[in-house]
Amino acid sequence: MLSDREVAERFIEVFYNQNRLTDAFAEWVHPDYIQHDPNSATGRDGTIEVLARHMEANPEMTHDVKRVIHGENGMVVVHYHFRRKPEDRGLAVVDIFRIKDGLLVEHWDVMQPVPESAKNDNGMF
Amino acid sequence: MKPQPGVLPWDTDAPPFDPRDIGNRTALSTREVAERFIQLFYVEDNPTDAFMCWMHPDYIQHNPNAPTGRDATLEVLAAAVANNPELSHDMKRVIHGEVKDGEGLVTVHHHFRRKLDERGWAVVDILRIRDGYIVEHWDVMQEIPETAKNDNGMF
Repeated sequence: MLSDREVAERFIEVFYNQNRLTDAFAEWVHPDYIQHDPNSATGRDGTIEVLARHMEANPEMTHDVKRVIHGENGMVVVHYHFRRKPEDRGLAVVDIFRIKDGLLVEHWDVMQPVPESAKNDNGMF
Repeated sequence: MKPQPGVLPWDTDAPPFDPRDIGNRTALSTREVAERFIQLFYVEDNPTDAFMCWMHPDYIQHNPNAPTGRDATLEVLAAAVANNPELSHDMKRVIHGEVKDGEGLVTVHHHFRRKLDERGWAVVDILRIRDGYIVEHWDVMQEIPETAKNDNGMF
């Protein structure tokens, strides 16, 4: 049995780094996983269909992972910069996952467009 | 001061503490610093005490709508609290990362509302803590939509 951290690392590699979203879900997400993203259906298979269309529509998409926080009880936080196209300002996103028995069983997220200008020079990441 | 049971849903076993006691800050763990800040900022809605006790004067702010540094940000936050007496941060979960080289990252997921009757925002704050201070802050905010494609809620 893999540790929660090992499961997270494998999912992160396939989903965020390789942009193989549907493969990552088929391999590491529980069929009955609980989805809290308001724009996605709950459960794995419905989400895989949505992700497949998303990949087809956005072949240049990237997930630039900025930091990962491995917490207790299988909780993992991924803070990243999502862009549909390389020239987009894109979105700042935080995904939170709960991992149990080798699978992702629950997911929350928040996303916010990266603005054109900011009140500080530190960037959103 | 020990918060009421249930006020610290992320750590009900926390020993009693005074969230304003900064006397021995460098002896506190990153978790203890986070708990004290969370109690003051999110539970008591007291940004002035939270910031003056636990935010480093030169902390690095990544929220694009706030200036960097403690005092400039505090000015913005204190005005927000004064203008929105019903403002609330409903804590949903806190995720403590591992401590490495004396520093750790803490994630706070909460429901922010300026008024009780608004849908409000889902917010994730990420805090970097070292030497008894919060030294860096990132956040992402998303407005809670009226309808969703699932019945699980955003939290």
